[in-house]
Amino acid sequence: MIFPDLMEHFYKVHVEPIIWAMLLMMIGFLVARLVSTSLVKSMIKHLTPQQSMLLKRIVFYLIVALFAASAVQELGFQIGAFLGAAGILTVAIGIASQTSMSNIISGVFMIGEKPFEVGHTVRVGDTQGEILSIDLLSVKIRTPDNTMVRIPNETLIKSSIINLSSFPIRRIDLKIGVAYKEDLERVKQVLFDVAYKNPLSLIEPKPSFLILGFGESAVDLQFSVWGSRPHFYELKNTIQVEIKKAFEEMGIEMPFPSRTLYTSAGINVLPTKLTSS
Amino acid sequence: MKKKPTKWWGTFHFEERQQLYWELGPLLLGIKRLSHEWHVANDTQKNDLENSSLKIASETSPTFTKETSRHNRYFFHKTEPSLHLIPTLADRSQVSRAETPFYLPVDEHVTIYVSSPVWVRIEVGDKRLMLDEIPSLRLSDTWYGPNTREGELCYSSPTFCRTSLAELPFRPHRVISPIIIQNHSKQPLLIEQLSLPLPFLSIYADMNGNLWTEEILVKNEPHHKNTIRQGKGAPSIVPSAALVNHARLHLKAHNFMTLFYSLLTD
Repeated sequence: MIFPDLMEHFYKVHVEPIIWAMLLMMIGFLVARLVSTSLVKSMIKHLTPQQSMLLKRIVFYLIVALFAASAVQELGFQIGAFLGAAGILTVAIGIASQTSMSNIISGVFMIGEKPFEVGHTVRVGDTQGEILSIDLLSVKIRTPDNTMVRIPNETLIKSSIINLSSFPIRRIDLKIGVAYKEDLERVKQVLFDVAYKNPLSLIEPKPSFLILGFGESAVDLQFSVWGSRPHFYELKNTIQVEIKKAFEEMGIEMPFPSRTLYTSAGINVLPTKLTSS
Repeated sequence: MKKKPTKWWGTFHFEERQQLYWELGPLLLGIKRLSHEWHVANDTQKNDLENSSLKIASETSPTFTKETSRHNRYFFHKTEPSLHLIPTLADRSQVSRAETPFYLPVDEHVTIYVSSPVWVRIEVGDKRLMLDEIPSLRLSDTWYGPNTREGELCYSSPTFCRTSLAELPFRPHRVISPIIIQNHSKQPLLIEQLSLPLPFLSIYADMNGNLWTEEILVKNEPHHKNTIRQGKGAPSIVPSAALVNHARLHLKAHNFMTLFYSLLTD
C-alpha cells in the first residue's frame, strides 16, 4: 500500500494547503465585499460619495490583505521573510515606476485638498464632465456626450481645474449687440423686464447691465443674470429665447455684421443690384 | 377681508371616467379618473399675482394653454373613487420684498400680514397616495444669504406688508402669515424684506375658509440681536381656525432660533 500512502502524503503536504489557501482567498473576497458594502451603507448619510468610495476601497483591500497573509502562511511561507522580500521588491518596483508613484502621491494630496468631489462637474483644459471616481492613480470623468476620460492625478495637480459645482448659484453672461439707433435705456429696461418675468432668473443677486463698447456693427452689451445650478442651462436657453422675442416685439434691432464697400474714388458707394436668382 | 372665500380643499368623489376642474387664482387644475389611471393637468399660464378666481370641482373645462400646461398620468392596479386636495406651503422659504421699505421707530411694535401662494397636494385612495404637489403660482427664485457662496435658494415675492386686516384682499390661493415685529433697540428699524421659512409653518383655516399660518413674533434687540418665536396653533386673530395641514419640516428649539435669526434684513 505504498501508493495510497504516497498519495495521502502528497495530498496533505501539497494539495491541502493550496485548497485551504484558495478557500481562504475566496472567503476573504466575500467577507471583504460584504463588510465594505455594509459599512458604507450604514454610514452613507454621514459621508460624501467620494468618502464612501474611499472607505469602501480601504476596508476591502485591508480585509483582502489580511486573508492573503493567512493564505500565504497556509502555503508554508514565513510571513516575515515574505514581507521582507516584498519590501525589497517594493523599492525595486518603486524606482521602476516613478510615474505611478507620482500619480499616487498626487492622488493623496488631491484627496486631502478636495478641489472637487464625486458627482461634481469640472472643466480641465478642454475636457468638461462629471467626476465618476477619484482613484489613487487617476480621476475618471464622464463627458456630456457619454465618453469616459481618464486624467492622471499628476496632470490634474499641475492643471487649473474649474469646478462648476462648487457654489449653488452661477452667473450667465449674455453678449448682446443692438443697433446704434436704439435707446440704450429702453433696451436696458426691456432686458430687466425679461429677467424679472423668468422665474428661474434670480431676483437676488440682481441682473447686471454693462456696455462693453462700440462694435463694428452694433453697440456691444453684456447682460448678466444669476440662476441656481440645477436650472443653469434651462435658464440660459429660456432667457435668450425670451430676449429675442421681447426685442422683436419692441422693435429693437439686433444687427448682424455688415460692411459698406466704397469705390477707390472714395466717396461713392459701390453700386449693387439684387437679382431674383 | 373683502370677500368670503370658500373651502376648495377636502375629499372629492370621482366616478370612473369623471373629470373635474378647479380654478384657484392663477392655477387651472383638471383631474380625471379612469379604471386604472388618474390624469392630472395643470396650467399656471397667466401666473398673475392678483388673480383671485375660484371654481371648485366644476365639470366645465377651462382653457388650458398647450405650451404652458402640464399633463401627468398615474397608473394603478385599480383606482379608488376618493381624491383628496390638501393645501400645503412651498418647499422653500419665501423672501417677501416690501413694495415700499418701512421704518419701525424705537419701542414700537406692529403686526404685518404677509401672504404666500398655496401649493395643492393631490392624494388618492384610502392609503392617501400622493400624486403631485402643484404651486398655485410659480414665484421667481432668489438667493438669500450674506454672499453668493453661503445662503439658501428661496422664492421671491413682492409684499405690500399690510397692517390692517380690513385691507387684506380675498385670494383663495394665498396663505396669510401674521408677523409681529417689536423694536426694542435704540435705533429705528428699517425693513426691506422678510424671509418666511414656509417649510416649517403649518396651515390653519378659519370659518370663512381663509388660510393662515402660525404667528411669528420678532423682537429686535440692541446690537442687532433678534429673538424670534413661532406661535403655537392658530393665530390669535382667528383663534378658532382649525389645523388643515402640518408643517413639512420640524425644527428643534435651537435650530429654530438659528433659522429665524435672519428673518429680518435691514
